[in-house]
Amino acid sequence: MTLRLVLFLLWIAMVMAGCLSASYYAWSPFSDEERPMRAGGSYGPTHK
Amino acid sequence: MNAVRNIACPNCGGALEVRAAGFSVNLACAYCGSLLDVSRPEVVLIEAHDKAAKGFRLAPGARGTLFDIEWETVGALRRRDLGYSWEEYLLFNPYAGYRWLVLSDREWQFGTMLLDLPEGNDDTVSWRGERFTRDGDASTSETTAVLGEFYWRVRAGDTVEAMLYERGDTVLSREGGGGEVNWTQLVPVEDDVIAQTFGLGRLKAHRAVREPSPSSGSSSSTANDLPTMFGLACAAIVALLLAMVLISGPVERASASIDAPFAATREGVRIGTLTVRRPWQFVTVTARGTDFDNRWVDLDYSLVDRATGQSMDGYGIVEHYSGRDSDGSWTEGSRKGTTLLGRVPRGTYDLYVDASAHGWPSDPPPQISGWSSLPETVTVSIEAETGSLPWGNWWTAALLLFAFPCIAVWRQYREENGR
Repeated sequence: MTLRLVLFLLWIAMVMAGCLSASYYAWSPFSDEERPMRAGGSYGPTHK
Repeated sequence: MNAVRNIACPNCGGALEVRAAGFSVNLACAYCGSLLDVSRPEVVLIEAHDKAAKGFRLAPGARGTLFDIEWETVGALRRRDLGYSWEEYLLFNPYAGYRWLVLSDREWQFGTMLLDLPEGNDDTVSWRGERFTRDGDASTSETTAVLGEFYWRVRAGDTVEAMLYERGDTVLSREGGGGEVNWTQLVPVEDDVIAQTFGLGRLKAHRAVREPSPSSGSSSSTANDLPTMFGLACAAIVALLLAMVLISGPVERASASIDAPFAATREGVRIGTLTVRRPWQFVTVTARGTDFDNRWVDLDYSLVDRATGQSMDGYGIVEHYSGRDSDGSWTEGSRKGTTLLGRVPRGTYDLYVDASAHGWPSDPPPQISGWSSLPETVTVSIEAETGSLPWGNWWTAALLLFAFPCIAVWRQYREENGR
């Protein structure tokens, strides 16, 4: 087993542990507890 | 040593020495990497090259004494075979001729071209009374970088068919290409010896994987664990999804519809009751507007704990716009919006919604119906759910898991293509 494979396995363990902990505590950086900031502070189409 | 000829690179003007003048056919410019034809009195540019083949462990011109003969490194090749790559150095001595030094899998081999060719079949060959057995299948080796000078015409992209035979530490390499077959005997050389001979630092950790796969004068490989890494990343992301499903549940739903008025807010509409049965759970609230256009609806959610009266708030929006301009018709937004509420503790909750609709570019006028004017509304159906999956977390984990092998691929690509 190569060194980088060992490092990758550690990386997998770290990412999985972090993600599962976040799931257990129901934490996400993508939650919507705050109203999102809109461009220019107004609504409406923004495509042009 | 002598037989040196001074030339100027026709591409960059760099002053070059042909160290094996009269023998060398090709020379890669040490300054710009261009491939030159030095077999004729006038030097001809074969291929302008702006990425010099940097990163070789031995530079052309490096000298050292191996097996009691002083060798000068005149050329360097980087070659690859599927996922494996290795380096081959062409050594020259005016009296002894050419030899190869191969760096593969962090091991050195000294290669001598054979004049007395082995005999046998594809599986076994005999050479000088000894029997060599085939090691692995035939493979195609591709040259990926060229530096220095060579006694045959070589350029990046050249391929040869290679086959290896071994007996103990000694390997015979057969390479075929362009209608000729070359045999090379490869014997291992200690890293300490090479380091001392050429004044190099010692190689670091040994990366084993594959037997050397020489070819006319070279061979070997670099461990390729990339497929394993991608396989592990795929397995991990699937396992993570299953574990997240188990951790996030159980699921409970409540739903109702709300008519959002313009220029006003409909407040405190109760959608239903949800029970969070784990210590912490996510709650998602999905709003779906029915057929509306050039409107948006602001939604304020309040998840009120029946036991404590405390409220957890979240915000959502559904919006959809369309129009036509000089580029044609366009649409923007979505009539569906999902709001994720995190860190909701165990308990029973009532979900309340405040909703207000807006028009773009302005609110619509009230509709006249009989004697009174009725304000237009936008109907939005609301569905709340406990135990939902935080997909953002999962996608982030997927990105992090695949970033590692992707960076490894990029690094390997850079290594193989001249860094």
